[in-house]
Amino acid sequence: MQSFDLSLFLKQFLYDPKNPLLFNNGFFVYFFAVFISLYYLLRNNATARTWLFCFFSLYFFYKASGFFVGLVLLSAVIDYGLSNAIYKARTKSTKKLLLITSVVINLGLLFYFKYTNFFIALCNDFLAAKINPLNILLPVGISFYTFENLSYTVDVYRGEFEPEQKFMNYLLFLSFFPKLVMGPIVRAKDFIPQLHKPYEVNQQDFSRGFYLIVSGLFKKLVISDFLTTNFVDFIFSDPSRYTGLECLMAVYGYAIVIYCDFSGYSDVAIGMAKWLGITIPVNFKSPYQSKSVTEFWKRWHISLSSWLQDYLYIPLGGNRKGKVRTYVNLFITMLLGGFWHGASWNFIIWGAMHGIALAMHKLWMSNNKQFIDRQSNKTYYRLMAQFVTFQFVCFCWIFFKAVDFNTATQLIMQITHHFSLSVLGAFWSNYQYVIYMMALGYLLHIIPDDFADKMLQRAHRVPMFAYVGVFLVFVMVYAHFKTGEPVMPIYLQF
Amino acid sequence: MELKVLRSFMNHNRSVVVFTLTSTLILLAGSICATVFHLDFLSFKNINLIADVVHEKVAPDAPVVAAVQATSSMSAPVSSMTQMPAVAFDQYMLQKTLVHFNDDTTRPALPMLMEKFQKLKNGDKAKVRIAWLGDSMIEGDLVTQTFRKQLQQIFGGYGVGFVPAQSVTAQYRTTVKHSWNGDWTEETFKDKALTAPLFFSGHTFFTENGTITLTDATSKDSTRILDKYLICGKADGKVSIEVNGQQRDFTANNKINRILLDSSNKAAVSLKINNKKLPVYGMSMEPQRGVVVDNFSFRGITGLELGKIDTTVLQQMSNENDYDLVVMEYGANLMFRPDDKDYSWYEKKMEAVIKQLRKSMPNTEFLIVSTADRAFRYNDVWQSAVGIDSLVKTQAELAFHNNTAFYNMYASMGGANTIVNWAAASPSLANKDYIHPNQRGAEILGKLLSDAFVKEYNKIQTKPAVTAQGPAATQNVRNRK
Repeated sequence: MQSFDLSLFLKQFLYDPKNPLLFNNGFFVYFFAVFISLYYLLRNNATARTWLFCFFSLYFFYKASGFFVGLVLLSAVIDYGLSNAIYKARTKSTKKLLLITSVVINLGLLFYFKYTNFFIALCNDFLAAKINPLNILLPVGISFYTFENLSYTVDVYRGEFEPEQKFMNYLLFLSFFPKLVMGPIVRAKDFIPQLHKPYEVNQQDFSRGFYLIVSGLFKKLVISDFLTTNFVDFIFSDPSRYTGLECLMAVYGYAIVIYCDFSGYSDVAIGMAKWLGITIPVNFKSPYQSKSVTEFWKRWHISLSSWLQDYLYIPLGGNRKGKVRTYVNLFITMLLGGFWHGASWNFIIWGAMHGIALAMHKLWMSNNKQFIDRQSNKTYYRLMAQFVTFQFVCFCWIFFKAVDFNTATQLIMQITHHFSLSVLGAFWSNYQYVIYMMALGYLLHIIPDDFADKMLQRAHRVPMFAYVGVFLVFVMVYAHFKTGEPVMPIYLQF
Repeated sequence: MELKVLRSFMNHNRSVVVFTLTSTLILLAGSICATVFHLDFLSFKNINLIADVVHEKVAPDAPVVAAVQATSSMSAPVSSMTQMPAVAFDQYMLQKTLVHFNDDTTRPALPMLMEKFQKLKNGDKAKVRIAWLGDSMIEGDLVTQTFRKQLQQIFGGYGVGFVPAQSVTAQYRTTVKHSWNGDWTEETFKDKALTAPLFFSGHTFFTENGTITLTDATSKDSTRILDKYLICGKADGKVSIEVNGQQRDFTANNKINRILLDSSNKAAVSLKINNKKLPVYGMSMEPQRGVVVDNFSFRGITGLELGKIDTTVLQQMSNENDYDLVVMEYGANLMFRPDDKDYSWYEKKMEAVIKQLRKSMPNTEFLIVSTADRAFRYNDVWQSAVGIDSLVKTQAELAFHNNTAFYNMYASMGGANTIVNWAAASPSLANKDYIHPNQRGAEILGKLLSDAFVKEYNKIQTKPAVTAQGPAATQNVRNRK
């Protein structure tokens, strides 16, 4: 016997730490339906629309992270105030002082919430200190909105644009719910001007948004979650129990998991923004097709790599201070970029390996320019370069995924010392659905970038019921593969 | 054409609203129908949009096995209890306790073992040897290394005990450094045709040019004398082996031979074997007095495989008083299907195996350690296997009917869903396969076990154990129901 429970119903509106709001919660369906209806009703009143959007975004944040929502509000107030003060300041030194204040506050908050315990552990290990770790929870999305705040005040300081006069617009820029939890990192100069425009969605935007949302959800909720629960997680949690072949496949499995997880979430955010009349630049462009690590970082998490380039690599001197400094700058940028992903040595190692690889690639390019120019258009060279780049990226993922250095080396040891194809038969019979799912993931990944666009150009012939039908089929597929308690997206804690 | 182009540039913001509301209404209607009519059509229950706000009115399930504290009343929640000696059998539900199904709980379980512990404590020159047989749960010396360390600290002793000639987890075992070289062949529990009898380890190795190097890592005391034995099967004539670079000759006439290779303060020993006919089981590194715990792990087995050990091998071990206690810790591999609840087939087969072991080793005490928690994903949530209570009870019945002590690992570690909580803990205590506790989790299990042993030992401080002609005489003879 089932009955409606009012107290359960009311509880749905409160933050539940065990079930934070994500795009795949049932609650989100209602949230979005109510939001979009009101947003449409207020379409002709830009101010009301912004207020509504802010309210829903902050509420989304509350449902995802509890009272940490206050941090977004606080940092919006501080950076809104500081950016306007920077703009109005008359002397360069005052501007600089204000900018430094903004950087210190933003990085201070990020440092406190994300890195305090890491450095306490470091002191305990190296200085034999006996400091107890603090009970600090990481506010969702703090890494993302901290970077957004920083780029904003830096851009104002550089005189690239006038700071936003309306506080609510700035608050919306920071808290915009589609990208709040896992990015992409949005730039104010791209985002805020769009808030002043009327709410317009053309046919292309609608179909493209639909495609991005459904394919993004499919990548995240079906492929990534299936592979995570049914293969990757248990192998990475104790590689010593598995054969070299299983461990190697877990690495390739994780490569597709992290891609589907992260690009899937980005796609949903970009697609949802499209439906709301806002364009966010693409964040992933089939990164595993890259022919070099340099190219990989132009295709992987583009909003982060471009942020690191503009606000870290270039201020460090970029390539303007000689070859050696260029390599050092690349290394430092990637090292810190790695550390941004999480407070552990493994992320630092991951970043360092990418930093070294970027520097080596630059060196290789400058020393073999003629050879590369001659070969780069040849198929064998392209395939070889793609293969080598992909293997390197996968190797680095081992450190990214493993819980500690020891686990990462265990996994590598299993692959190098306990690899035998004699287990192939057993592997196939046990994991064939995992292999199918991995193959599907890689297949989706290799779809050429312009293929989807070409298909979508014909989408004006598609009637509404077909969109609804496709979506319902997706929901049923999702229901079939549903992995139970929501699997936290990997970048959530970043 | 122009119209189409124009249409594509028209404002379609209404489409977003229409799409969202239509889809939401359909999903909502589906959810209501699925809830009201209890439809599971196309897994709709997994995405039910109203599941979180409806209340299911059902009678709460009575827990089949409620782990009870020693002090609480031992009510019988299992329906078949009426046909059993109610209170005595009920003991199997006790947490953190070695039970021997005796009404007099002031008497210790495993009395002969406890008495031998007492001798060690009194300073007698004795050796207590425990064989711990298990599956992947104890691979890499997990659980046993903590158990061994604890008991050796209390009753004396050092040394890792038995180490098989080769092992898949050798590089991760922290209690011994272990490497080998050369060409080896192997026979195991899984092979049908065997050229030599199997030992407890379930692996027999042969080599013409193999080397093994072991370094004990259980003690840093460089003054202690560590005995190193080769455990091997029968070989005709004189057997020549290179020990630490020196040629040594010996005979191996018995089915199981323990050959002392070196008795010194060195922690390491290396062997070179070039006799393809010599069945090599492994080596043992142990003290001259104190506690020895031999870890015999074999991946993927259920315990039934022990039936493949030749009874004459067991009898010889018994005659030579090799083992004071044999522990059998199995179960994870019996729960290979999420919905299994009936383990009577296992009980029947395992009973024969245990009877054979007990009969062949009348001077040895036995302990059955129940399965640890294992979870499966049911619908959408990881939960303990639905049959785990039934399996624990089956294992307890095996112990009860065969005068064997019992330890409820499942209840001791925390009962239902412990493994799920352990996998989610930070730092984690179990792997994400929801089967295996990791190093940290295994340490907890090992400590719980050694504490349970000490608890029994403490009983003989106040009330000496009854010693007679064997463990059978110390326990009530029980008839099958």
